[in-house]
Amino acid sequence: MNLLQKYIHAVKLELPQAQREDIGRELQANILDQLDAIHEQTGREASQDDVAAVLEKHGHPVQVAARYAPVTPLVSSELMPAYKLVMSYALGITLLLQTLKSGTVFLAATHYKVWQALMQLLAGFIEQGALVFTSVTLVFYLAAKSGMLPNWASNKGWRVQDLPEQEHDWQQIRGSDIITDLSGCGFILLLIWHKYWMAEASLQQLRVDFSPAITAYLPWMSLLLIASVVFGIWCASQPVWSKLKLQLNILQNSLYVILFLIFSQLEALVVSTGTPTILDLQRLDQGIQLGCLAYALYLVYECWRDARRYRLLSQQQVGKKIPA
Amino acid sequence: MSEDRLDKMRLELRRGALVLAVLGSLRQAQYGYSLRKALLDHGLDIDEGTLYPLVRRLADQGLLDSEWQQGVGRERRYYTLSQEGVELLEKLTQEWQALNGTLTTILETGR
Repeated sequence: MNLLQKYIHAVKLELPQAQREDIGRELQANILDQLDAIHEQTGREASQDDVAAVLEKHGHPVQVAARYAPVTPLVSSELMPAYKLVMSYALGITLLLQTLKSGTVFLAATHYKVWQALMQLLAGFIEQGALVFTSVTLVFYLAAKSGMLPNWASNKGWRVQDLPEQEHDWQQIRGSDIITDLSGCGFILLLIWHKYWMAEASLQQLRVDFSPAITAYLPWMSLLLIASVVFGIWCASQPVWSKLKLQLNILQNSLYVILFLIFSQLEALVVSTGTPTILDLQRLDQGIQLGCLAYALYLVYECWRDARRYRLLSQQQVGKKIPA
Repeated sequence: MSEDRLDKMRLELRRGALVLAVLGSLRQAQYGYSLRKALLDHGLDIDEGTLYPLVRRLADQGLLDSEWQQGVGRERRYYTLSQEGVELLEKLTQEWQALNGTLTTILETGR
């Protein structure tokens, strides 16, 4: 096999089956013309070095094949913003569901192994995430190929009036924040209502349970958590802080502050179930109370921050109403 | 300005014009190498790796007709403008002339 045949063969291997023979035939004819031109210019047959130089000038067979039959990306650059948005939500929901699943397994386990639970969460997320990634990419590829993409994905039919009123970077609610909040609420709801979903055997293995003092507040806590889930879903559908959203966030955070401050002041948060345990319940109580207090203080900061943001948005609206 | 940046800008500038140059040169039938030579004779040096795939893409779009012919010693694929290509070339030429006029004015005014 001479150099030219070797080269043409290498290019053909990189081409789609249907185009191989035709492009290979044409490329060979063009290269032979170039070699003929060398013959005409120099008056001698093209040497192996001449052939090699001509072929190298054409480029690597993979590059040459790519020029003849360019590879189309699975998702075009025009669709990339919509693809990234859908992908982030799909992966976020996957993480949320995986957290709830791992949380259920963790709480139902007879031995609490935090590290093992975290590794299970990570492994489960990677496994499900890979499936979600492939599915979303395939859906975009097939929808774009068949021309069935909805208008919003390709930004067709948009109106400037429909753009959100957003003047500050902080007004954009990050998807990661929403997912974290929803995961947290879901996990705490599972924890609070563990008696209704845990197996009898697992319940009997529990070493500690909520004290009667805190149990009295759990229905209120549950209502607040459910309201937070609804609020989180609303934020996911319109991820921009508005005055109304800030007001509601201040309200829900204030209620959480009250509850967590009450928890931090209760005499006992957890009690022994009677099953032998090596846990020091007094220290566990102190730890949880301290955690409740710290979280309440953090939420006070969030209320203060949101109140400032609310005032800023109010001032701007007043400013807009004043004629120039 | 670095040579690298100049090369990139030049490539970008030439990309659209190359299509027009190729279409304009294929009013008469040409095969790959003869087309390259014809363009070179007019002062337009196009790399083979760019020109040949471009010609094929234009043919795939229906702007060129092609035919294999047996030449002296070997076969060659000849390309020529299709009816659709002729119509497009006419419109693109008008577009080019208008753009060229505008650009000339802008560049002269800026001096």
